[in-house]
Amino acid sequence: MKVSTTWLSEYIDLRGYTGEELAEQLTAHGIEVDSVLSAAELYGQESSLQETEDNILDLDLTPNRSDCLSIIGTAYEMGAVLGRYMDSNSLNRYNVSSYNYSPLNLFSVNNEAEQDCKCYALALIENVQIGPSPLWIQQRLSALGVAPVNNVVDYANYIMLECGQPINIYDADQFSGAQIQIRFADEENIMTADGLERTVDSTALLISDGRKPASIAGISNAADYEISPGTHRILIESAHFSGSVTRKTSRKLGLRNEKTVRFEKEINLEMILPALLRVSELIVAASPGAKLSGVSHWQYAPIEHKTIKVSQEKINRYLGTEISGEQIEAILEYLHFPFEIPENSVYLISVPKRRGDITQEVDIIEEIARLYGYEHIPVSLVQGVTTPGRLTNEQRIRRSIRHILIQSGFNETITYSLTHPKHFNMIPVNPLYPQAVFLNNPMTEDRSMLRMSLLPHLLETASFNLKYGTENIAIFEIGNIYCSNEPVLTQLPQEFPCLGMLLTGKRTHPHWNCPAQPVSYYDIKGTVEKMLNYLGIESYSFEGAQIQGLHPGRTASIYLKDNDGNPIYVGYAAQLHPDVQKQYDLKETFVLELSLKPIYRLTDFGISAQSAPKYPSVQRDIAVVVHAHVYAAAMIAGIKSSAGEWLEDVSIFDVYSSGSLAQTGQKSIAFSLVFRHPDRTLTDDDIYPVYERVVNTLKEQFAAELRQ
Amino acid sequence: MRTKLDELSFEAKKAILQAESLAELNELRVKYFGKKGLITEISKNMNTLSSEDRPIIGMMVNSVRESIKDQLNEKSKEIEQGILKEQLAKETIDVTLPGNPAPIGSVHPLSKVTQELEDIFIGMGYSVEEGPEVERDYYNFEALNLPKDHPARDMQDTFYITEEILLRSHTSPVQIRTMERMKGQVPVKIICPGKVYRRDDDVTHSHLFTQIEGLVIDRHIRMSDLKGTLLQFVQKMFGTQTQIRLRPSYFPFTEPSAEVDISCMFCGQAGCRICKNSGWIEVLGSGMVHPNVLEMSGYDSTQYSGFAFGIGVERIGMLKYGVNDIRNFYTNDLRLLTQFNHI
Ligand SMILES: [Zn+2]
Repeated sequence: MKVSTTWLSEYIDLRGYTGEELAEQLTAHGIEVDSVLSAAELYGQESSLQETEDNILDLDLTPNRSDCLSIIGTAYEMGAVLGRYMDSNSLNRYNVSSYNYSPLNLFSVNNEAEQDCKCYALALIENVQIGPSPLWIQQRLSALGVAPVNNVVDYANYIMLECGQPINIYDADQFSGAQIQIRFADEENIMTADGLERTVDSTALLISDGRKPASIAGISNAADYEISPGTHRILIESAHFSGSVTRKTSRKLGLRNEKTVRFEKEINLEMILPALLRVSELIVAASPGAKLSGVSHWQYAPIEHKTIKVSQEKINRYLGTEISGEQIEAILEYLHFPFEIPENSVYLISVPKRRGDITQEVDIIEEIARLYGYEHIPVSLVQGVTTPGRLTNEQRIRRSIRHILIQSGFNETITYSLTHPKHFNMIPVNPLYPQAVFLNNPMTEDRSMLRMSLLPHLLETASFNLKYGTENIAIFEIGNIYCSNEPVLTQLPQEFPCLGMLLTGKRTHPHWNCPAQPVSYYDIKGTVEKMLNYLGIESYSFEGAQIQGLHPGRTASIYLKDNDGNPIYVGYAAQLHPDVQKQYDLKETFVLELSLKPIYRLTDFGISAQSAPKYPSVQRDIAVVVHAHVYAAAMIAGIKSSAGEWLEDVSIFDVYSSGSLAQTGQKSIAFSLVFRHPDRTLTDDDIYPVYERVVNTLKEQFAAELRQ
Repeated sequence: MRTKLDELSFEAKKAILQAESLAELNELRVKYFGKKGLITEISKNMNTLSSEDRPIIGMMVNSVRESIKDQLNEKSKEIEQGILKEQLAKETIDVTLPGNPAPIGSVHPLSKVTQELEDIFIGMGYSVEEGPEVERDYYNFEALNLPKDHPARDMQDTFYITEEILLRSHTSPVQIRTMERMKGQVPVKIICPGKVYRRDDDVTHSHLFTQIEGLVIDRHIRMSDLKGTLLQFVQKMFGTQTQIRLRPSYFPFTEPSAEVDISCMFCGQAGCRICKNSGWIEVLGSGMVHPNVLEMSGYDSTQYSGFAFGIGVERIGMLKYGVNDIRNFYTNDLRLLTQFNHI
């Protein structure tokens, strides 16, 4: 909303303040002023125009302050802020008792929507001559950003800007009957004032003359009811149309204007008749020979008068202040809020209709607070019991994961949750929740679906960085993926927190002492094993798997063991399929995705320390030759099951499969077994049978040959 | 006999002194203490002495033996040290060559800021709560005093999935869910970090951004407590010289509401590009929890009051790290990210 200080000065004394100072005062107390433009800046230095002292303030109004969508409303606010009273003489322009008028007998009104049109008023003026309006009106309108039209429309706009009440003008001669109907539409076509044919549905409110619609209430006239240069009789409409109906229809039609903005925020019912009287008087005065033939006013709902009770004690308790009774009374008086003091330090306040935003005690407290000045509210500390601050376990775990991955050389990324539908099934979807979640009102197709995997954006990030010269890429992201089992959501979808990792290039930059080795599957596996171990999760397994989009020979499904011993699938670690690598211009790239919910559940925060072993351990190595496709994990499981309770640890220290072994499809694999007895030193005689048992198991289960 | 011993001792010392290697010293050891060594021989012949002389000479022999042994040991130590010194000199390396790589990654700046904010509020007794990013209209709007056709819904353009389900446009729904769960219990003292979404994308807006909202509910929470809490927070975040300024504003879920500015740390309030010459930088929105919001989530607004605030993590990150475009947080350019590899 733009306001002019000259215009405001008709209602409130602004002397002693520059435009800038007024803007500062308004902003400090709750009405933000975006800009201040002087008359010189507006009209040019050489202007001979009359309002050279003028300043135009551009107000950035919050949705609750629709009362300031007018000169008078802003003047009230200025008065409250500056501590000055409104000019009561000027306010009489909007006092019904200042006007003499006869009732309008030509029209009757049938209102079928009393909830959404609580008040309706019409005035009929005859003998109008359409022409330009006086220059000063044109200037005032232009200064506030409203284009001048003619001596009828300009006054309608002028009054709307001055008092906030939208005024609509019809060509009265277009009305076919005397019965005006206010009704909801019935899928009708209307050509609106802009010349476009529009269809309205049953949520739109219409003003109809019994034959056809004259206007979409508060939004636009039908084109043939608009006034034209030849119009002689005008029907002026000043009415209430509800905010919700106006908003719905103006949205649907894409028709928003100065009138709908005001109706949407609910207008002041008390201003409907005075505004009509004042605009009629001005139009008659500006059109020689014109005559007001009558004014009628239909009130369908009583105007309720609100009173709010608030005590000085409550105000100060709520704000933490010590505002005196005199200060509170002064603020209320400059707001022009009438009040009584029925008991000591209690205020019974009558809220003026123009302040529709004030409905309860806290609204009054806010008025007191902002006009008293937030800068005068003291600083205090929250009293009451002290509370221990904390992270949830899930947040602690995520921090630990982030920490351990960063320590391992990975860089954290955060990518968009919204993605392109083409990524829908890059990685097979969760069979329990196979449905993607699509936005109803996306900005672009690129960001129209919630991601179902972290992988696509990790790949895009890798591709992007490679393009800008970063060749060694180790990145991860912790974020949600989203999916549902409903094609159309009635419940909230699933949000699964996940970890995604991507690794490509070399482990390090070229270094004089350490060759820059290319990364491998085992780098990403090792890092995630380190992470799981750090979280106290010991029961996990990697099993060979085939997953679409991933290298068929270099993909593992990852399982954790639940507390009841059942394996839970938590994700995959793999090399990307060469086709996908090519698609993203990547070389050998290793990726991983893990679902974090099972990890949250199985993370072990407890440590129960064991005393250091008293007796030395004994180590035995076993090297065997097996078929190349025998999984090491299976062999370790075989060793563990056959070696008995003294086995403390088993590790693999050599894997070898070149030369003649390769030709026969075999590999050599060497295990190191560590044994320990809790109560004594183990002897060769103790170990020998165990060793034999392990070797036999390897022979029987994996057709292993012992290597000498 | 005595003279013989003196001579022997003198010669041994001379020889030891002149020895240059451990081998020479070994030869000397054999010469004096071997099976046929000179000292050994003398000891063997002690029984030829008279019973008066024997103890005296015996003592002399012992003394000479110990003395030679000591000198041998000392010399051998000396030679060993010399050898070691030589060896160490040979082992010298260029200690200025770069050390072996021990790669370190980097934390995303938004995680860094979020963690810092979380830790500040945890230190002030706040718990950290989370909730879904895909929300019901009820939790995102209605329970926050924003019924379906409330004009303030225009303030946030929201991504909808269905009429009733949307991408949350702030983390306030987590506050509502927490209040529901607490069933009227106090104190409530939480912060809610998380991703939020708005239909907006330009230099100053990203359709995805990160918020941390805070909520305190108890008996007798005052607006001055809000002011004190925010002052404490900004001083921990930006330094103890930081001041705050509250400006009246409007949010449907708080009343009174305030935009909060901090004194510009770049120019000491003298005026600069970042504060647009005002000396103040807007960092967050806040206010007293609207009684309607309290009532809808099960708190009697005549008994309890509260305050709430919302911080834009990107905004803090831009101020703290000089990132100049909000979208840079989501480009994931490793040339930017890897700068966040230290404390
Ligand atoms: Zn500055």
